[in-house]
Amino acid sequence: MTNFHIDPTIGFILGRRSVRKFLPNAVIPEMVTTLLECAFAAPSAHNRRPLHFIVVDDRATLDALAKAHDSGKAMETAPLAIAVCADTSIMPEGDMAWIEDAAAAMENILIAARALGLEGVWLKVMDRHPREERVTPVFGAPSHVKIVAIAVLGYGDEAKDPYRGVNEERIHRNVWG
Amino acid sequence: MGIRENEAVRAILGRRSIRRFEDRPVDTETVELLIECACAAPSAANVRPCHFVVVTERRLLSAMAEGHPYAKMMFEAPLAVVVCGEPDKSDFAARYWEEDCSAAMENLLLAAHALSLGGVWIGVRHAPGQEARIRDLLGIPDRIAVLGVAALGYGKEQKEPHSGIPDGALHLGGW
Repeated sequence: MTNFHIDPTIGFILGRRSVRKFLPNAVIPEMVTTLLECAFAAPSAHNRRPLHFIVVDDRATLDALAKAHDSGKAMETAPLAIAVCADTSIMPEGDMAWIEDAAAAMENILIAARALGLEGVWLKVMDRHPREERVTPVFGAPSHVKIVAIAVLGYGDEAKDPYRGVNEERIHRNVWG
Repeated sequence: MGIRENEAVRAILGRRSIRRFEDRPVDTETVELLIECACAAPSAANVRPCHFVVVTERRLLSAMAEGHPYAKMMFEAPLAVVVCGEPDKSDFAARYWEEDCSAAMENLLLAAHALSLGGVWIGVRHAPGQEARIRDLLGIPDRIAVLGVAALGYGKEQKEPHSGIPDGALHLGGW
């Protein structure tokens, strides 16, 4: 019988943990491109594809982000950050499905990072105040573009155990209860 | 080995929306592992606001298919996982349950692809009238939000992997 836990992809999904301390080593451009390709490979509601990504790898901007984001300390050591953004102007009035697209793309980035020997953490930006107002101008995005969150990435300087198991209270069979 | 040949990268790029399924059930052990992967998704402040309704009863799968404009594949799929959130679990859950549940949904779909299954994410939250309908059908309480449904099974169609970066969607250093 297959030991499912040895499937490498499953291993990376379960092994992805939030890592907030990084070694100074830079991430090579080929890896950054692969992370972005994986981000764009996430599904998008009605295939509208409203997402944009801002890649930040210069120390000054990373430091500015670390300062602007109240939980942004990870960016003090990380060599790379990718902001996941949505162009809300292409969505039908009132349709907020871009939140879901952004989150799926973020998860792809984090799992791909883990698979390539990197680690990372998902920092929320949108809907926290004044965080959103402080962080958004650092990226210089126009007002119809929402900075949903930032993937902070690099070679990890802390190790955590993989996730295991399920909480049975949160699983329901056929119907709720 | 090239970076793009990395097995997990291939799984991420290879995951496509599959809407045709073989008439073949998914075994319990596989379902458990899919859910374990979904539960491994990060959540804001580690609040873990997700619930999962695992649906294998044909009657319920067909009923879900019937009233949704984009869910006809559930007439065929042997398995559906309804991904739900609990917004009133905490202030963080209220703000971010939808992002957290979307990450869990993506893990589910990636894990399914890695285990030779196919699947598709059927949006519920932003499809008018669908959240109430799915709640009624599956007895989900009003305080629980329904993100969407993963329709899953052994695929009966094949698609090329994703590749490339769309023009104009990438910004370096700032917008």
